[in-house]
Amino acid sequence: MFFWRRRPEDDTARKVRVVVPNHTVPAGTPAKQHPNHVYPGNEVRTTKYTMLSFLPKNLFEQFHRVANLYFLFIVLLNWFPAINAFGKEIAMIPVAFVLGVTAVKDAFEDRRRHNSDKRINNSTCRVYNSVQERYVKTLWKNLRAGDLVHLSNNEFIPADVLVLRTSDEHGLCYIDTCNLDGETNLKQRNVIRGFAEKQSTFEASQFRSNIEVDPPTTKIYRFHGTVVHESGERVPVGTDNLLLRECVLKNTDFVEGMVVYAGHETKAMLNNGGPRYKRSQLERAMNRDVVWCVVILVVLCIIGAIGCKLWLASFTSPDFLPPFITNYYSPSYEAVLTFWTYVIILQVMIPLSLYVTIEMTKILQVFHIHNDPHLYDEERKKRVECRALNITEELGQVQYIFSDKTGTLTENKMIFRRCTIDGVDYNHPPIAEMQNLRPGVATPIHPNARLQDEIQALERGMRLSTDSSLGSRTLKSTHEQRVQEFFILLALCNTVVVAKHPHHDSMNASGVIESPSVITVEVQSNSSAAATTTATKYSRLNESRSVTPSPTSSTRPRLLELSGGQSSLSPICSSSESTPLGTPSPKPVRRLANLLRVVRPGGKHGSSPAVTPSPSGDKKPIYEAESPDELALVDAAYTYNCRLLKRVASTALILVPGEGMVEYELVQVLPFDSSRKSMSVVVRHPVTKQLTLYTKGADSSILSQLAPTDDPAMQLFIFNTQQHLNAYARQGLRVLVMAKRNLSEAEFDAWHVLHKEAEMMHDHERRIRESFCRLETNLILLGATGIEDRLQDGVPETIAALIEAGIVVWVLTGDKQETAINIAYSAKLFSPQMELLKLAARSKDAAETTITAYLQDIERQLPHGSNLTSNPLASLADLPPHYPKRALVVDGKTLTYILDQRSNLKKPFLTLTRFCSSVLCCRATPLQKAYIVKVVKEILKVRTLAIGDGANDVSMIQTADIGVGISGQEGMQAVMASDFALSRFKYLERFLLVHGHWCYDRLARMVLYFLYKNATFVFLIFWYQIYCGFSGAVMMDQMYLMLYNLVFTSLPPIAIGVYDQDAPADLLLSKPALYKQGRLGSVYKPHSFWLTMADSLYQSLVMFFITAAAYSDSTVDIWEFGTSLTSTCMFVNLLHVAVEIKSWTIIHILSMACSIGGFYCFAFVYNSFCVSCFGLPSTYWVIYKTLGNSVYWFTTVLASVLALLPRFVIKVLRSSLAPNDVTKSLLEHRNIRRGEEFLVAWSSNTSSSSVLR
Amino acid sequence: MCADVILKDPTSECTCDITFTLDKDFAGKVYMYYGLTNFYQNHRRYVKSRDDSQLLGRLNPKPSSDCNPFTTTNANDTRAIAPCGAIANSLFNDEIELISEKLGQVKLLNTGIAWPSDKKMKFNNPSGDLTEAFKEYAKPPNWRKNVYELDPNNPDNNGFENEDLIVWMRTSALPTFRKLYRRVDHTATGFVQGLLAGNYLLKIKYNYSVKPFDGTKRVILSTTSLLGGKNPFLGIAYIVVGSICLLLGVLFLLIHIKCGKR
Repeated sequence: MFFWRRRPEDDTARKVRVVVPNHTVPAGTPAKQHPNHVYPGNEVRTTKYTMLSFLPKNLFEQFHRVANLYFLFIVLLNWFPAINAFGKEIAMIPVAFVLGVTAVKDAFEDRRRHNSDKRINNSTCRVYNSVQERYVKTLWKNLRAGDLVHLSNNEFIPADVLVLRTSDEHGLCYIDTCNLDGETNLKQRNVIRGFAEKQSTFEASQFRSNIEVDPPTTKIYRFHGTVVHESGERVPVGTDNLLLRECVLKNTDFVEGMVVYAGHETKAMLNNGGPRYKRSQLERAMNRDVVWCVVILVVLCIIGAIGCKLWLASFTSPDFLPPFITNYYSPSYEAVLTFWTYVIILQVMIPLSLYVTIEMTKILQVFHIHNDPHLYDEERKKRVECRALNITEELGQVQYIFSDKTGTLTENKMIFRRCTIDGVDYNHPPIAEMQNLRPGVATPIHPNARLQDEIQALERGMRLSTDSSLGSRTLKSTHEQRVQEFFILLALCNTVVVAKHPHHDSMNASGVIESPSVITVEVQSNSSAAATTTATKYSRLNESRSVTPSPTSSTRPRLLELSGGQSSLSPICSSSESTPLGTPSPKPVRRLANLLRVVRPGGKHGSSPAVTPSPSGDKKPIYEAESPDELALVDAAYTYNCRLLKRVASTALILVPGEGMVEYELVQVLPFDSSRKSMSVVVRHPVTKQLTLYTKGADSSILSQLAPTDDPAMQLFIFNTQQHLNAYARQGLRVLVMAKRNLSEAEFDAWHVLHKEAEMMHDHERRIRESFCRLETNLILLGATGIEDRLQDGVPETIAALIEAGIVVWVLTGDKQETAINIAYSAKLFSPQMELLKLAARSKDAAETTITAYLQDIERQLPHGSNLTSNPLASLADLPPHYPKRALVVDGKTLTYILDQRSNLKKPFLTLTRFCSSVLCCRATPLQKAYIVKVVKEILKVRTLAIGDGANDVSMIQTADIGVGISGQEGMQAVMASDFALSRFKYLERFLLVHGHWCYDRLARMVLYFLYKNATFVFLIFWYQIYCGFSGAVMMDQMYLMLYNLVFTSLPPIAIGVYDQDAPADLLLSKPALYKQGRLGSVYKPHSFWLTMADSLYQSLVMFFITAAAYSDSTVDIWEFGTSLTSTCMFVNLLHVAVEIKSWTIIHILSMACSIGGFYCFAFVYNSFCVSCFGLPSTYWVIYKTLGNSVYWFTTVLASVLALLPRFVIKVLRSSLAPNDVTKSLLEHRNIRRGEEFLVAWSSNTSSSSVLR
Repeated sequence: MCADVILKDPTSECTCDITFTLDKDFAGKVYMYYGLTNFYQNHRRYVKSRDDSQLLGRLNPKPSSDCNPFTTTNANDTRAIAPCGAIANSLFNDEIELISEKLGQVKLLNTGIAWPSDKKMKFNNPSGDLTEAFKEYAKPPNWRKNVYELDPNNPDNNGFENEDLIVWMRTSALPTFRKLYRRVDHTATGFVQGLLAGNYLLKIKYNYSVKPFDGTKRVILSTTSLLGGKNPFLGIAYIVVGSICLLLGVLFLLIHIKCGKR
């Protein structure tokens, strides 16, 4: 495998491959001679196995596990005649069983992958067919390099495609790469150089150029190639011209392009990594104990071997042998052989079936979590999605939660709430019906009356001086001018794409170009009510929906109808229209002739083209923005009649109040990045030719770049704005500061030259950033905005519960400190009683001093004798309870000092955080988020859970022990990286406190029980060695021995592991503190294993010696004795389960009944029909004899009672004298309920008696 | 002592007489057992050393290798042993007679002592004349008789179907064990009520050596009780465990009264 992966890369590294357009190859060319035949087709296969390779490959993989190798070793050992203990075939039962179960599971999983592959491979797209001379519907799997494809808006890109033509006159198109890299902003792609000019004349058949491309690489944004025209002209092409598989075409009616990489050679497939394997804490503890089991096994084997040697040595002379020693070897040699025999007969000590059982249990647990109706989101029709199957119990042991804020705690519904212009604050009170709005969509606002007046004044001013626009400018006051510019900035300084009408591709899904007349005919046949053009579109959409299946159903656009009164409202449609990728919808699209509205689901790309409803009767353009914030700003501007009407690469047309239509020239766009925290545009006014830089960004980055001023009015303005900003932040609003800078042509040109140089530089990303910063200085303040992002419902309750559960909650956000603190208070992350520790240092030393000061303060509160230096693991629990709880706020800058490798501040910082019940990190970058999680996980050695919804949380989610994705608005990337996907933050409470608690408790007890069960059985066999001369004889029938663990006693542990509840869900929810049990890992502790072993030792002693004593000096034969012991052991094991079970359900009872019943049934059948089977010693009729003997019944009862007595007594004493927290609250809970019942009974009694009276 | 005689020469004849007195009547069915101590019939190699297929009457010149080293007599004689294996080879072969002082010889039955299922299903003679069938097979080295001479008087109890052999072949679970040897024939006059009190003589033809394993031999006469043989263990254990449970019950009750109201 290693070889064939490596070699092709080396071979092709130097080569350039040539892709020939397929339509230039004459039809009917044999496949072998086709120039593109060496490149793989577009069919993908993500399955591990094929029908043929399944058996060998699966076995090969399974034997990679140490456990299975051990099995194999045992089986082989059994083939040595001198050692062999069991029948050769019988000894294979366990390994066959385990391998078989695992193989079935693997096959099942692979089948799921196969089905999804099939669905994807059978999606369709339109490919140019040279015979029919038009685009023809083709399955994805039949696509190949060299094909020309036609894609419509919102269509998934089937392979890596080089763009040749787009619907845009400038040859632009946009793709959403969310599926690939999680970035939600749209990326622009161009047609190849030289083709932008001939967009309208492009004809697929005319394209006859070959394309030379690099061999495929995993690097998503590296692509080089050359288009070699027939004339010999060579045109270089790059990433800008390439559409990548799994991306979605956006904001473009259609594109046409040529496939250069297909199938497994596409960037998407090359980057498709397999799932990660996480191991839970409990599993690690269990593995440690399994190692102890191995030690115990070896000790037992050594004792047995020594015993064997001593026993043999007691028969001194070799020629004077007792008749029962058949082959005489020297005692030492015999001891060595017997050692290996012991390894075989005591093999169940290593609980190999435990691993299979755990896997099955976890799958069932996951199934039940998935189907919990309380975790079902009605609104979004989403359940909990468990992507990782093997860490369910980890959910019950979470100690630290790291949460993103936006979209996770908040709705990500951006509402323009306040703005301050020229030092004047304008409030926009909330609108009542906001509840029903979809997330990610900007909300209509009530315009502020005063601001509206001012705008109207501006407009009046324009009318007064209609003849001279220049004159109007001079007439305006500074305030009005600032208001005007403020809104121009809102409208201009963004990357919003304006669409007048929805995207529409005239080619339908089957590749036929539709003419309008055809549509009309269709309309008439489809719907009599549909007379308007809108309805026409819909009817066609309706039809095309059934044509092409979408590769992933989660992204399907949904049609919603809103019934409302405003019939004048023209239909506003999202880009989902006219896509050929609509999925066959079970619901027919009903139509309302005059009011139709398409709303995109909040699901996948909710944030990136968002749709805004029109506030007035005007035909409002459709804005599609990168982020909901931008959309909210543009919409706010629109509300105040400062309307962005059109925007192309070089110009933006704006309706400016007071000036009318102005077409600004977009000279330069300085896109947003998280380190600059700002975004700017440089525009040139069409009339004045004035160059202006408009900037919006975080207050921290903008305010520091303001031009120094001596003007007291200006200083007051800045001061007022800062006051307002602080007020906004205290309200929990996200603030953005708007500023501008007037540039002279010379200034800009000078910068531009430098910038161009920076772009050419090697380390260009950093240099471009620096270059941007150079331009964004000397700014003039215009104002600021406050946008509200409301908390999701249930968030405060959930966070309060999590904190009460003792989980330390960290919220990591990019927001301003005041905003973050405020949201923290409203989310109950901080409570008013908490002492707030703030870390906002501007230097490393300052950070160090603050941390030390806080630590000293805490140290003073610690009980005497413990200080932080001597006890580095002291924590919250060590603090006396009467001291107030602490919460820590740390900002991004301080974090950089703390996380800096050289600063040595990590340890003190983490020590400090251990004394805080919640931590808030503001202004944190995505990388810092992941790094914090990593540091906390590694240094504090705690179990961490990270929850987030956006692409910026992905690294954090992957770093944490448990990654939870919110399948919300910011795309699927977080979900794809997560182990569990919830649809809302509030479900985390039940998810952790109930399911996590249960899963941990169940699994811990199941594992302990499993270890107990196996050990007891092994000890029984070991005690027998005392009576059989340490010869390695087994008194039980080999069938029983092999099936005991695998079949007879396999169900009760699963019943515990899946269904047992130590406390009901409502109790766990009402008392979050009960989560402590799992958080501190108090069910499965290091000593739990040894207690279990001690118990199993005691029980085996009782069982064995009671049976041995009862049957001593009798005619009992070895098999009857063994059968009696097996069934006694079975009863004891089952009664042990009965003691352990905390909630009885029919499943528990059934599992036990099946166990014991199965055993007896098997015994009867086996002993009745098997006179001589499998070459085993015959145990024909033994069970009848055993059951016929009264000694059997007496010993079984006696042994069961005596064996379970200690565990039972301890359990009773503990729960009545010193109950643990769960039991205590369970008892209280029951008492309350009983009290209520009593009350009810009593009242019904009194009422009935009064009736009698 | 016969034990030493036998040890020196396993083929020599030695008889041993033991007298005993029954103090009271043994009412009901009386069984005679022989008991061995320190005989590890449950040793791993020993338990395996048999060929169930051969015992089913399917004679094969090459018995199962499980029987090693008792498959063939020795290097010169390549005849297979029937019944092969260490278990069969070590068959208990003392012959015990019981003589009542008053009534003379007690008639003992050597049938009905094995499990009926064993006799019916697990042990079958080869078809045809036994002597003919076993002509090509050697007797186990320790045996004094051939397998077809085990009970010449009763063809149903001869060869592999001999009940003494069947009883012996059911290997015991513990190194101290007893095996059913004979049933007293209660149809004979004087024995209808059981075994009456009085003096008896056990006449043992001493063939079986217990010296090599430091064991002892016993003869046990017993009537059947509900619990099989006489074993006081279960009774005592029940009393002890019952008392403990009772005590705990009282303790729990006290605890419940004191603390249960919380």
